[in-house]
Amino acid sequence: MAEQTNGTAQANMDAAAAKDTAGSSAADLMIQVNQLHKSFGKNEVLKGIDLGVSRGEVVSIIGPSGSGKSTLLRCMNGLEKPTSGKVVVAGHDLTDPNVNMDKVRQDIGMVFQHFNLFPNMTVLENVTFAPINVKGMNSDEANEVAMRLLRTVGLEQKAQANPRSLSGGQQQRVAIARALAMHPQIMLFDEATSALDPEMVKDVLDVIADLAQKGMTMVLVTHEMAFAREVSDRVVFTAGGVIEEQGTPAELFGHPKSARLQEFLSKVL
Amino acid sequence: MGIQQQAAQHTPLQRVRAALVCAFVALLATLSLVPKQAWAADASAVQGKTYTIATDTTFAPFEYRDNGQLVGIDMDLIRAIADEEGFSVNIQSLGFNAALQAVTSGTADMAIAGASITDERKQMYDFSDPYFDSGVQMAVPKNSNISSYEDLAGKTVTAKTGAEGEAFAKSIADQYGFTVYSVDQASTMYQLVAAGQAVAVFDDYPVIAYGISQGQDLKIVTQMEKGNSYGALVAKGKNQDLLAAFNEGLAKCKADGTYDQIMNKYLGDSNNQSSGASSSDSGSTKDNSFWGLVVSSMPALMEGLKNTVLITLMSFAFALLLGNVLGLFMVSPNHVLHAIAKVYVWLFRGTPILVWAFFFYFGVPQLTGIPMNIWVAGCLTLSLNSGAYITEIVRGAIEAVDPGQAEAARSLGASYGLTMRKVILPQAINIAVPSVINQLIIMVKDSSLLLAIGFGELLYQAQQIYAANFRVTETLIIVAAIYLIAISILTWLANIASRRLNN
Repeated sequence: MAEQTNGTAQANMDAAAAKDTAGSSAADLMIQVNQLHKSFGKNEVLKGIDLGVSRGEVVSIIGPSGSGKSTLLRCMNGLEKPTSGKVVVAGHDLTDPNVNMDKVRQDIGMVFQHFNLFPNMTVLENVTFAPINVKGMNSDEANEVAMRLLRTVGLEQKAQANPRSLSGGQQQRVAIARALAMHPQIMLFDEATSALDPEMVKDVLDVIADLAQKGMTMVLVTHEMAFAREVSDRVVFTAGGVIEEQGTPAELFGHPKSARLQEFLSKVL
Repeated sequence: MGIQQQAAQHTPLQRVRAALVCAFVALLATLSLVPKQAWAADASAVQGKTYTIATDTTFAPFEYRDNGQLVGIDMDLIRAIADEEGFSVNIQSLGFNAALQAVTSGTADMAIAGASITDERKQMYDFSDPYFDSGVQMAVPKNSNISSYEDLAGKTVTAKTGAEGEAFAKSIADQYGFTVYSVDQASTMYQLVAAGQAVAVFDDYPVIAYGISQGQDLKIVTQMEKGNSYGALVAKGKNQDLLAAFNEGLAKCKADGTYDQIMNKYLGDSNNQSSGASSSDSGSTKDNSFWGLVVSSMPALMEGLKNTVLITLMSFAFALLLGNVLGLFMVSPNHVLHAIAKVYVWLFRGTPILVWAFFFYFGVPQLTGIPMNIWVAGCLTLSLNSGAYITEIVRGAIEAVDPGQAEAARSLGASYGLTMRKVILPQAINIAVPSVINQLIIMVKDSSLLLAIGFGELLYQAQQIYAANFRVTETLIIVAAIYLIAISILTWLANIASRRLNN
């Protein structure tokens, strides 16, 4: 599976690379967000976001707490319903009231800060849950796919373990394998390393970096500035519900233009 | 257990007048019996048939249990009459009000429950010829120096709610300046006097005579007040053949001496009530120790325990089903399902179990015309009540599962139903199990409320026992111990089951 994704993504990346990245055609846009507003009651968290993510692109979203990073990410797989604006992901218009959200989500993998593994299942069952129950894959095939993914994240010996017996870093790697088992076109990471002990962070980041290298389209909300700099094609800085500044890691971290970004970087770097 | 509550408000004059009217009407009824029978009812039509006869649970010496068998004046009499007339009886011991309800609703054909013949009741029922002339007497502790109503000034007396004794005591309470403390059962009355909370009891003389024969430390100090007569009753206009057969059989029993035998057996020589009254096998041969009581009451109590456990488990199964379905409705995004669950919980959590027991057992047959089985009525009552609580337990358990679990499942493309079934519910069950076991234990004890409709569960059996032998405290201690043991075993089994479920 990983190879297959890799191949397609790589081909698309090559195609995209032939053009100017910023001006890539609509067909190559895996995520397209237009004038997205989101309010919780009277509190407007997103105040008009415009963002496009191309096939194979890795985009990191950074910014202070409460700037709407996670909300923006959750709008990209329908966990939050936009108040207004348009969100199109992998060709599905999420703001269309008739959209089959269950179908859309099969193409979008999501990894959470707190892993959210199912404690009533083994590690292997966590990974095979969606392929068997959602896609209707037979269990032999699902087990084979799951074991290969667990090997990729270095946890095949934990297949029969209860998720609760695993360390945080191991749980998060299982969660990544679980998301990849559905062959998603896009992976969303919501502060995937924030709940981990420092010594666990590297194992998880290695897995994500490996995915990036294989050409997976990814959006990461992260506090790991060094990692964002290393792995991203583009970094987006949000503040106060809007995108304050965006660009390549070199531009953003090397030559921050806005005062807010400069202030933010001075605190976190 | 005579006149209904309304009678209690009558003045003595009204009472005497009502009694005279009753006697007159009864006389007329007797006189008109033969021609009426000829064209309206056929006593011989009852031969070979089986009739359901409702009676009080305990109204010694008219009906009570002795070693588990229903005995007493009413019981011996109805059986003797059935023998004479060639029909069979299926006796259901329901409680006084429930017995009358059962006749109204058609659940029973006839009631014989020491029921006074009153004008009010004649609007609802057709009475047989009177088979017993009762009257109220006052009894006081043997060492009391109260010897007349005048001595009661400033004191408290006790009587049974709704009984003729209560009506009479209230009618003279102002005149003699005493207070009437009404209670539900004869046994409670005697406990009050024994504990000194009341100085005298007012009740029908056969009841008092029987109590004294069973060892109550009482003496009778007044003459019997003139009272009502007792009659068997059927629903108005119904079962006229049975009524005619009862009257014919009663006349035969009186003629051949059977009637006098029965009266002597339970009341003894009426001139010497306090010592002569003796029940069939009460007396010195009985083991009166606590262990003797344990041994003699055990068969009936075990029968009660069996019924308690059976109806609790059956109801629990239904309540679980109901609670799970409605618990899911409760958290459902569908507004209609949510509203159904809300209304259900609101209704059954907000109303007493007793009301539903009466509604299902007596109300539903009257509304639909279909007789209701007592197990079905009991099961509906308990399961609908507990189902409401389990609905809330299930809702709480589902909401207690980390919302991240649902988000993770949904973001993998799982539908709402799949997420519930495979991810949320298996976790919610573990959270709910301790509360559900708690609810099961509550149900075991709540099932005792079904004694009000005459369901033969554990506490009902205990009431039957102490209503006959008046050993209330000891019997209740035995019952409490049985509940404690049964609930301990049930808890232990439930915990094993829940551990299996967790793995």
